[in-house]
Amino acid sequence: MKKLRKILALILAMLMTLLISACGTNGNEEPSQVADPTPGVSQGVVEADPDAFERQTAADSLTVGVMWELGSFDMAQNNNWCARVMVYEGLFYIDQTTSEMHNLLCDTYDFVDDTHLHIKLRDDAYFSDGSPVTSEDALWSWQRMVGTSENNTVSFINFEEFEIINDKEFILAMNAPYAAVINVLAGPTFYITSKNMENYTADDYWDKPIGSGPFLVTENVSGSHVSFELNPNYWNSELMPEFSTCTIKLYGDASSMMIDYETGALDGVTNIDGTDVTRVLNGDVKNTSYMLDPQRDVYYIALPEYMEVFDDIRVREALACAIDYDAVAAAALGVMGSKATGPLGDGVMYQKTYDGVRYDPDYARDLLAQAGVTDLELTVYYEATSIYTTMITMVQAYWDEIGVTLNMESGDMSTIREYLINCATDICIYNNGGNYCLDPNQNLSFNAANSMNGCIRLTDEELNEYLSTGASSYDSAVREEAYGKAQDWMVASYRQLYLANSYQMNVYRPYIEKFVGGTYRTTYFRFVDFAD
Amino acid sequence: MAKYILKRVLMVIPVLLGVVLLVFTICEFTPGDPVYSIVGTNVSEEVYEAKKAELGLDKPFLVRYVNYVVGIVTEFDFGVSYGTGRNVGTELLERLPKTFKLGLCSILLSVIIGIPLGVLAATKHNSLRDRTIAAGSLVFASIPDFWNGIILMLFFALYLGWLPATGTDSWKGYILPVISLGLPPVASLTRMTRSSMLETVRQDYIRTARAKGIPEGTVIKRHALRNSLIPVMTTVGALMGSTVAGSVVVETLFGIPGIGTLLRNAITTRDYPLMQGGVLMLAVWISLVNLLVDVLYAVVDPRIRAVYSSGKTRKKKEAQPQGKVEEHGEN
Repeated sequence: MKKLRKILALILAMLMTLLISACGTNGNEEPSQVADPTPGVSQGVVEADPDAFERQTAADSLTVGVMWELGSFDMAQNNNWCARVMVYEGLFYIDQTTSEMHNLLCDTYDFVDDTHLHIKLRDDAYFSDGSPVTSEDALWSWQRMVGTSENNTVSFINFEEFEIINDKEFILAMNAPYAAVINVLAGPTFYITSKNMENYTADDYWDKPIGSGPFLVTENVSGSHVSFELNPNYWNSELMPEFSTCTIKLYGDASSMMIDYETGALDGVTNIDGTDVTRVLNGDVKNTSYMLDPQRDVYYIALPEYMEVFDDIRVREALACAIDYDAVAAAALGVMGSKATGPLGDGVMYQKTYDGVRYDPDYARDLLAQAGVTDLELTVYYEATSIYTTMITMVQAYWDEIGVTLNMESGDMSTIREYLINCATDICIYNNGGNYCLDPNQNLSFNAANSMNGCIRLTDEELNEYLSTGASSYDSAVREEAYGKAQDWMVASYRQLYLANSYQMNVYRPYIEKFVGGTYRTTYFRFVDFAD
Repeated sequence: MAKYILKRVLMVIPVLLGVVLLVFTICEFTPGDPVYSIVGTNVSEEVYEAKKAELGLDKPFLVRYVNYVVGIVTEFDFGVSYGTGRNVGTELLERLPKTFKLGLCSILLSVIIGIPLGVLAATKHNSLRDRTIAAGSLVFASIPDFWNGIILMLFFALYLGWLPATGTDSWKGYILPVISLGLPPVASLTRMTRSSMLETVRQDYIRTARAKGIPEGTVIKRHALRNSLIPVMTTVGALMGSTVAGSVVVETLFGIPGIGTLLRNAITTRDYPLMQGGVLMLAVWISLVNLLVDVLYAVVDPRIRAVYSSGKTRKKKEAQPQGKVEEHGEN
């Protein structure tokens, strides 16, 4: 019997080893092509041979995977962006490759004065139901979107009034000069939708949107996928997509999405998991192209103004110097990030890069001693994502070395948001995600004196003057100088300790010439180009 | 019997009211403001208050609770999702069939495999077969469903290419998630059936049956198995509830748009109407399963039937053995 038990145990152990080894990559295999994992906008191809690779998905179609729960096509809801950009269009759009701004539904525009923008719509633009795009539609869209969700609120905070001149012309009035206005209007937060949806119910918005974009919704299955077909009467022949049907499949798990990609069920996926990024860079995912590009996010720790202990800059500098930023970025993000270079992420306009704070725990201890701070104990409430958890755990260890105790309490974003707003956390860890606009106004406005987020609010008059000048001047040189000074102030003040910039990787099959990505955050699948 | 079922059905009503009250109360005291989840943190006080009023969250807790219950009872209205603006009932009805299909198939799989395996193990107690089955069930009971799900996906979808990794467009799409979700219940049922059978086969009446020369197969099937099924039924009932309610991980992994993933998203965004509706639906399901199990108890166990039999019937039954005794006595 003992012998039998041993045999059984051996068989079980072998089975377990086999199963576990199946989960990992083959470490002994020589990578076919090791790409340069330097973060930044980098592209590469792993054994791309279009002739050798048999396409599994239907021809003339695009099937992509995203890690989101999409929702309604109602612009008053704050979701579904990557699906909405298939059916709706804005006044302008930004080329993802060149970052150049182009007119879309806007024919011409001019500033009447610093606070009034005159826009003329194109005469040949039509909605999918055949009705022309008019000023009334623009007004209705604006009224429906303004103040209804976070991104819309941030975008429209300076918009005051909408005045219709005629069917094709209108004036947007702002409460103050707003330099980012064109940039904001290019984003999906201001898409012009048909007023014929005025009496729509929530169910109508679900799968019967009327937009001027190149696609029509054929199916929107909650939690599963959204399918589109080409709008046969799309008005803009120059921007006609290269495929006639598209399916956006929704995933809750990144590894499942990647397996579907590897089996050929998907033509491309966005924002793959860090483990899979390493596999792609090591050449373990065959016949694939990839793009690693900035997310324009900067992860940082904020030392709030309401904490008296942080009034002394020596304390702030000490906490800054106690952290090894390279190690934090590497541990939390791997090849998906790098040590932060300043308050703005890569790709954001007027970004300045800084050398960063020197890691010097001895100097940090001296500074704390000079400030007379001993036995400092802080509590942080943070969102329990793996990135935040890794970062804050490492910061806890670094601060422990200089005698600062950091207690960690985690929760989901809804919970943590209340701690931030109510100033109930001693420090916070955050990221200033760049929303849908390349303009620094979008990132930095979260830190301004009027921010509702008390933990990251900076009320310093000098800084707010810079931010205000940057936001309101239409002169690019003035803006560059103002935002430059704002960044200098933020770095020198040690109010925010910039930990890491993050990147994302999109992968796609070699028969796709240009996938989504680049400098713009929204995934514009309509602009995907196939190889000839 | 009818009285028993009626009593069980009536007991479901306070249970559901209690569930609604509990979920409502938990939502009220859970940190996280749904208004901020929708409008974000960078909004003015006016925008915040307007959105709060629009969602009806400016009303007192009791008013909202009563309105909610009245809405469900009178109009079967579960409210409107904060996230999509759609009717919660519509959202749930779109997702529930997938979850039920997945959960029920998993339970069916576990019953078909688990009970026979348990019987096989118990009938050869301490044999190699028994030990192998016991060890196997212990292993599978210990493996979490997401892990075996990933392994199944890697082998059958990626390496072999036999089955789709995700999606439920065809019946093939259900195979891997059903196995993944069903393996731990198979192990539980095997272990439960085995232990229950072992207890039963040691009873005097089984020994008597064997002594009377009844074939072993008949003894096992007719006498031992039937009597062993009561605790097994309890386990199946509990598994039916927990498998459906706990399928969120498998649904997420295999990209199944079921109620689990819907509830997960509702919780993270503090979509209270969706949370309440989803939990209520699951509570109804679990109550119905328990009701079914209770009814089956009565079918299988004559002692329960006897308790709820009418007085007249009971008297009649009580009278019968006495008469028989008298007859025997006369003989």
